[in-house]
Amino acid sequence: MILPNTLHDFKNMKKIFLILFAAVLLNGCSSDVEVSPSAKDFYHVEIDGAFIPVLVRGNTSSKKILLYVQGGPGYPSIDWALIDYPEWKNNLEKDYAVAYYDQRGFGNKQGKAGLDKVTFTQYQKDLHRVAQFLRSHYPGTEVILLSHSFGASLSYRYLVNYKDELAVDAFISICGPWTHDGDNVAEARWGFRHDYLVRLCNRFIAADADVEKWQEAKAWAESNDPIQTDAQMLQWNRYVIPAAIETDGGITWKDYVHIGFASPYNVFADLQYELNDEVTSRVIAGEQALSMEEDFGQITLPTLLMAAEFDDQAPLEEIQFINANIGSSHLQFDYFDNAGHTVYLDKPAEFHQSVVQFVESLNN
Amino acid sequence: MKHLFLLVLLTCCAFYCSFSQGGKPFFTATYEGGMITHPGAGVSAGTELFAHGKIHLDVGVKAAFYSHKNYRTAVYLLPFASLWLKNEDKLWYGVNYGFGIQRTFIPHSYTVNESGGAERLRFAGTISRLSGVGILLSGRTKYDGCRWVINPQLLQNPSGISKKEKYFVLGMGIIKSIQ
Repeated sequence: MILPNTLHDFKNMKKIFLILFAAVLLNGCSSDVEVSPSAKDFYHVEIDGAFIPVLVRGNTSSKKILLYVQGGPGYPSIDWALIDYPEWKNNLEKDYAVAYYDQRGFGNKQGKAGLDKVTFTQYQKDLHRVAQFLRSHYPGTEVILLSHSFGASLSYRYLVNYKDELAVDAFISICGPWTHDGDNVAEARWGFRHDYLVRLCNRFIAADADVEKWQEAKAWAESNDPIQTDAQMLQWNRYVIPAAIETDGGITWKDYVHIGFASPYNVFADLQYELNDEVTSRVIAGEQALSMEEDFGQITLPTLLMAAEFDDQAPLEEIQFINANIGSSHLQFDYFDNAGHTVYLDKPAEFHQSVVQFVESLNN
Repeated sequence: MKHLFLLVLLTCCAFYCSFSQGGKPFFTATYEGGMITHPGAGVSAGTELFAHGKIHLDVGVKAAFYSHKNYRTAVYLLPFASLWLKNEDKLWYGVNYGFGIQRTFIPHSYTVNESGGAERLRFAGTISRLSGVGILLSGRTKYDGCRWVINPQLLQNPSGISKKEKYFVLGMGIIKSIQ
């Protein structure tokens, strides 16, 4: 080892340091985009002070990008994609590209934007800007929203508020509820949930499964219509939760090591639970101030709605309301039996088939 | 800029005090691994400000960077103070604290103009204050006046949505005394 012990050597070392730094900096600059059947492109989109990370992975040469809008709110998407939690890498991403982005306030949280910019309205703008970026950066490519749960709620509002300047070509709602815990939609929300419980009861009684318990639940449902009080809501939960299907994506210790040490994630920034809770509360508060009940007619994009048999967060009855009221003339409604809220994990083959069928139908 | 000026002034004062009392200067060269695997490097120069028995107080200034191609490259200047327990011919233990300034460069950055077009941003990133707290461990090498050092450090900067954003940097390298 040669150690500099004179000022001259120190100056040389400084030069080497600067050259090394310049090399690293230049390495961070990518060339113009090229489409590929197995792309893995990473970007940051600056929107009102925040640098939103975007990962585009899969078949960009298909000229179709599914823009995944994460649920939660409060779940980052990029780490979710890096560990391939939904297991799309070897099926959906072979057919199309999937773009994942971290919603403002989650993930690495880079930039100068403050909490005042964490709003449901800003989330719609971020979604719009990311979609615009994809359209512009991958010329001639269709951008299709692929929205799960809260991501679908956000997308419904985006599709209405930005209807005159949409940057997306179609919409896939994966188990996306439109009601929430706000008072303005409570009647509709608990009406759907009441009907869901009755359907569950009938289903299990007909299947001769745990008949006594489901008969009791049915009797309770008949004498508790409408569901209005906290006590009734809790009881409803007790009845439906045992029937819910929640397939675990199977996160292993290798996934944690990968995210912690071999990914762009700064886990300290990502796991700031208190801040994440505050961000979640702000976004939910914004969502709860609105109702989509009268607005679905304004959504006219080609749309695929997915509903699952045992989804207690977006019951079939709630998705059927959207199906009946949406303004789209190009509409596909897919129902998955024996599946829950994470239908892409519960029924991966059927989910894949549903998406492909819808996307291919866009060209007809 | 005022912040940077203040840092430079304080660092100069510390160096002046140390040299006027015959303090021993040193410099370090380290690998600075952000989250251990986001590679970087750093150099620092410092001097001993105070010594009493085994307890030594050093001051110095570190210039360093770390980089991840899909996260950011951060360059920082961190004036620091290190409190050491120096056991002759054995391991040295210490803690360090620094307060400085950081510039981040966020790679592959774009903005979207009003007509919906994507525009590449060059040198996108932020400038922010930065503090760092860490522990130090140092041992002898076979080279005279030269010791290895390990310095895991938690950096914290107050910018962005993530106020007090923390970032782990593992420093590993050498300290060389200048006689």
